[in-house]
Amino acid sequence: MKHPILTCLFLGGAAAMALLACLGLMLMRGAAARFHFVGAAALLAPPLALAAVLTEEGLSQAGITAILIVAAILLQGPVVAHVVARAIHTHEAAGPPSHHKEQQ
Amino acid sequence: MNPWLWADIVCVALMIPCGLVILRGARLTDCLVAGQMASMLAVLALMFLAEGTHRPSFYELSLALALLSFPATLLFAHFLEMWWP
Repeated sequence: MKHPILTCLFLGGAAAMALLACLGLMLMRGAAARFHFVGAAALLAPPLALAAVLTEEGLSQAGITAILIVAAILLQGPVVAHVVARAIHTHEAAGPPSHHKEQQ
Repeated sequence: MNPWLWADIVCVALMIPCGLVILRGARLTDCLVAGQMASMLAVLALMFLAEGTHRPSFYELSLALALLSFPATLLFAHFLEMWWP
């Protein structure tokens, strides 16, 4: 490793972000509240992982591929957020699912 | 074991809560959100695995998953909205 402490810091940060997002995903109620945590993880964890890879590899083949991966995640993020939020809104406007209505 | 593989194990282990949310989700939108989280974790896990095993060719798997999960999510959300309102 070229900079082991820096690499471990970035890796730990990425893992901590993913861990916090999963905690939020489990603890929150409702898809909209859960999706906020997924969005935060998708925004913060991949750049930290990329920083760890670039610290280790520099601009080698692996580093450039990692840049492409993180760019793909970050560029598709807003579109995915819009589409998923729209689906959540449509579902929540429609009310509870039919098997829940039958139970009531 | 190196730090990359530890981070990889964390990412793979975090897919378990996502699976639990998918299994116990009251609504399909909960499953969609948890699936989105799991796909992001899988991309990171493959990236860490490639670096941890010193096999740069494994990065292609991560790139392919990152690119393919995009249309998959779009299609799933579209059909969810169209067919299960």
